[in-house]
Amino acid sequence: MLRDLNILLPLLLVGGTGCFVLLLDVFSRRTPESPTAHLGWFSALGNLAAFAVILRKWVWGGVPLRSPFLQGVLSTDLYSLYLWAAISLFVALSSLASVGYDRENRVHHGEYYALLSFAGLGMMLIVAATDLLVFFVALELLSLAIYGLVALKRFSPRAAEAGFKYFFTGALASAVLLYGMTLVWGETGTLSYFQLGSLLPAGASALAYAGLLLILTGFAFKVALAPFHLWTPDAYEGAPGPVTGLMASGVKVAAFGALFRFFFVSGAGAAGAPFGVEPGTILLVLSLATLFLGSLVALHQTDVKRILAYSSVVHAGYLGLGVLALPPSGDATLAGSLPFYLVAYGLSNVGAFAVLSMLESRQREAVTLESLRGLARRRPLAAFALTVFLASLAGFPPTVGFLGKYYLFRDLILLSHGALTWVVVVAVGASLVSVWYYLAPVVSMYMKEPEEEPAPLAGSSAMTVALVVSLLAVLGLGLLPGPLAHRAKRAAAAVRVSGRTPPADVSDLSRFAHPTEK
Amino acid sequence: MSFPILSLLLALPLAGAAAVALLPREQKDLARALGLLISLAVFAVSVVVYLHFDPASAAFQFEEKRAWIPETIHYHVGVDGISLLLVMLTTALSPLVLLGAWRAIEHRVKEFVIAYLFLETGMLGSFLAIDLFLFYVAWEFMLIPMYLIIGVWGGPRRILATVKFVLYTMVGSLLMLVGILYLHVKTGATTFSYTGILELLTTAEGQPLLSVTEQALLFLAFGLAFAIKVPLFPFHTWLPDAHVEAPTPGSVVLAGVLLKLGTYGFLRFCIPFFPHAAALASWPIMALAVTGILYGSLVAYAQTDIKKLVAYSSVAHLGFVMLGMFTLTPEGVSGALLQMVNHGFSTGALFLCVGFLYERRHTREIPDFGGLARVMPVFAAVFLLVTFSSIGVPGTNGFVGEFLILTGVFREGVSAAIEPGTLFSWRNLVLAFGFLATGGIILGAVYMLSMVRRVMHGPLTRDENRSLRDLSAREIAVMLPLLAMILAIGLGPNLFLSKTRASVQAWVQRYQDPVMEVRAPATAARNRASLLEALEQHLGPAASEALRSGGVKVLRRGSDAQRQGGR
Repeated sequence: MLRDLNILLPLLLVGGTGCFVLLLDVFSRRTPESPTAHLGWFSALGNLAAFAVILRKWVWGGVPLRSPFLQGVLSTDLYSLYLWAAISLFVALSSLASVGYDRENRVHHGEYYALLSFAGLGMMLIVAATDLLVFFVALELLSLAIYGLVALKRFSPRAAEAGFKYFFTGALASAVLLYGMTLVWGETGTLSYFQLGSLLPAGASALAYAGLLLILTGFAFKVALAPFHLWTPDAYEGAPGPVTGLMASGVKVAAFGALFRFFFVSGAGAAGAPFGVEPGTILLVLSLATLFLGSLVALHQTDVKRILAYSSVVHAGYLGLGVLALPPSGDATLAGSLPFYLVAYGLSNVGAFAVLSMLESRQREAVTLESLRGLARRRPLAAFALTVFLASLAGFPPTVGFLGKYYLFRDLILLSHGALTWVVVVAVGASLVSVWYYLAPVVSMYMKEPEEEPAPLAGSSAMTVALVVSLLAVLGLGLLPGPLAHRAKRAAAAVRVSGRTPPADVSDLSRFAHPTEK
Repeated sequence: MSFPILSLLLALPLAGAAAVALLPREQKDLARALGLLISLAVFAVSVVVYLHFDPASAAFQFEEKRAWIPETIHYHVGVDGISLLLVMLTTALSPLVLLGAWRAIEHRVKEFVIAYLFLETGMLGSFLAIDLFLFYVAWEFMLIPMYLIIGVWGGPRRILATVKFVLYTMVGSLLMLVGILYLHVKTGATTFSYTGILELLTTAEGQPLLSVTEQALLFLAFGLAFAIKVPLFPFHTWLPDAHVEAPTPGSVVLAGVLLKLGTYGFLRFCIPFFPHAAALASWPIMALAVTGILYGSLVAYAQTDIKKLVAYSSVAHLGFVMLGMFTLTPEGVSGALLQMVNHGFSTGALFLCVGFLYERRHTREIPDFGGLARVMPVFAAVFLLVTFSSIGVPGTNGFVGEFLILTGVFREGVSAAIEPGTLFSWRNLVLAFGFLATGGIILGAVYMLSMVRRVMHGPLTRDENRSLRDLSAREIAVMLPLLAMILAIGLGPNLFLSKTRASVQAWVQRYQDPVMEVRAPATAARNRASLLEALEQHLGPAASEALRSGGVKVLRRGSDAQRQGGR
């Protein structure tokens, strides 16, 4: 029992932080200048503690990775550990970016920080889930927390619209996902990834296949793959800046992390299909369509948050390709491009939104290209940082985003022995288009002067901390990616291993076995 | 391992940029002076490299190799006869650019110096990298400071120009990234090492690893990046915009060094990696190069903006470089190499001169000038000498470069190894290119000299021009080294070519066989048969059987071994 708790310590810390923030809010005195700053710092520290615990587990080894109590529903392998570290860091940075922002935008509710941590807990659970039912519960925990956060600016019609749209599409996605799960369960009699893994690759029946497609559709909604991405720009625009940052980093990491595990442990990606089209192929088509549509629409945006929203849609396309860049029978060249890309992309986005959060205020809800003008003069550090984050998203060396793309493209070519080179050429085309819209904010900041007196900027030491940490990480990992790449590789390998050797006690714990014999 | 001098070369500008960043914003002159000092120090280091460079060896020298990103990617730098002169060009131009920028850049001086020093590291890194990944990183890294230099300190249409510059460059370089990855995967190389991949591209039997189709596609993927950078007609449309809008120092470094990265890329990567494709692509590329020469000259003649005129002249000059390179003859290639350096100095000098005029009159239109020689005699003399260099008057560097290139072209055209054939045979095509290019030289003289006449000579038509100052001491200090180089290369080209000869010889030799097989298959087969026959007589039938199956590579290895044994 204690051992199980030790394994779950990071989750307990993040969840506990959320609960404690609620209590702290009730029992502490607010100051008029910064009513919720102490909550923000506390939330950040709690999540950083989880991050430190994970690092300690990883670096000093001796991780009891398997726990009989959890087997079958949660996989606490290196892959989970890797993504937990990323998620707790992103939640901590988002909390820091919120300090100062909350006062400026009147979202100074204690629940704000509690919801951030609860969302973090949902993200951590979803990437570790190896049972569809646990997966679904984790997804709802994550989604409900984010719905609340998106609509938190209660006075703002934009936020209301954003929350409304996000809630309805999200609920629809959940329903589709759930329906797909019932079909899969009805056909195969199990919801465990491991047991599915021994059934699906042999050949799925038409109903199970339909179930898988519905699950994939639900995923596509959640991660904003075209043509299910239409909620993204509105939700991103209306949500508070730091929350958007968390949606673009943590939520994406969690959703893709979970999709990756589901695809490879359950063998859904290569499930023998009755119509000859594997779900993996459909994911490939969706990803390419996402790259194309996302890039084209992004060109016309003038609101920076919308630009980044479409950028996150485009990145969903890259990540979808990343899910495919893992061979079913892994070999030594397995590079773990997806876990690497997730961290690279998440860090750049958290940082970028930390900068945008400085610009957002009650008077100026929309951060347009116009409002960025002359930022290089007024806030050289923020302008430089935003430039670096955008360069990283666009994939310029020497940033971590470039290496993410490099690993991704290399794996795609390497694992297909050159057959998927055309996919890489298409992906590269999207990168090219992206240069245009990522440059637009840089042009505004460095090359144009404001036409009228600019509104004063928000800012706090916490925001600066979040910004500097992300900046150093993006540049540092861009120059020396070795340690991260190594861990990403081991993380991806862990997924494969757990998929190949299902634990013996799965059947004891799979409480959802089919009631009737087939 | 000896002292890591190339790393010092790369690190100095970065360290300098960090030092400049610490200066207070108001101290403009201090930032300028520190930048100048750093670039002079870099130049001094590169002079040490130049003096210690062994001209007899074709191998990479001062090589340094360290693991960078685990397993596959190394920080691997080195210099050979092909990159040496270009490295020197970069380090020599940099102090002049910073000195020339003293008055051209008046706001955000500190940031400019930082951007420039970053750019210098990027350029040097591209020339020195012998790891493909490192090369790509340096190549892309250069883009950001150049983007800022044009976009922040440029003219009124600077944003359009700089975005165009970045997008054009990215089109090519992203495809190059795919090409690099494909090459890495296809060769099964464990690293991105340049020499390693080069070795793997030829199989043990001496056959090329890649099919001709693959070679051609990869040649296009790499070549597009370089062709845009050169720029080869018809990919040149970004160049006039970028040049006209860039501030003077930006134009100088763009023309002086950045364009050379395109031609260098062809020389270093495209042709050695894909010799068959390069041989197949020679005539289309030479045709484009000649078109560039003629088109660039004609368009230059039509310009009224001096800067635009010089920009289009670059298209023509780089056409010569490409023409010489794709003859794949020793003369053509050394000529191309020398002409790259020449163009760096002479066009750099032209842009500086245009900058001097612009700083005085805030216009670059030819009709606004006239008779300047009366009020600015020193400037007129300097300008005339630079013009001579640009149009290749004997005694200046331009003459030597163009002469070598045309020698290469005509020698390839009349070479005995080339089969005479139908009207459109390789031989006739090359001769036609040679004649057209020679015509291009005359056109070059026409547009440059007529510009000089309209600007410098005749009566002083404008009152504003009467009170123009002649060159200041600083401006003369900028121009003197350039004039010295123009004359030094013009009068003693061997001083510089001697350092490159071994590398160029080895380079050309390596691609003789595949090139011959494509250009003159019958002669190649005949040569091969007679070589085998001779060896058969020499070694006996058993050895010859092994040779026949081992192919030409074994023959070459044998003859190399003999040569080395003899020495």
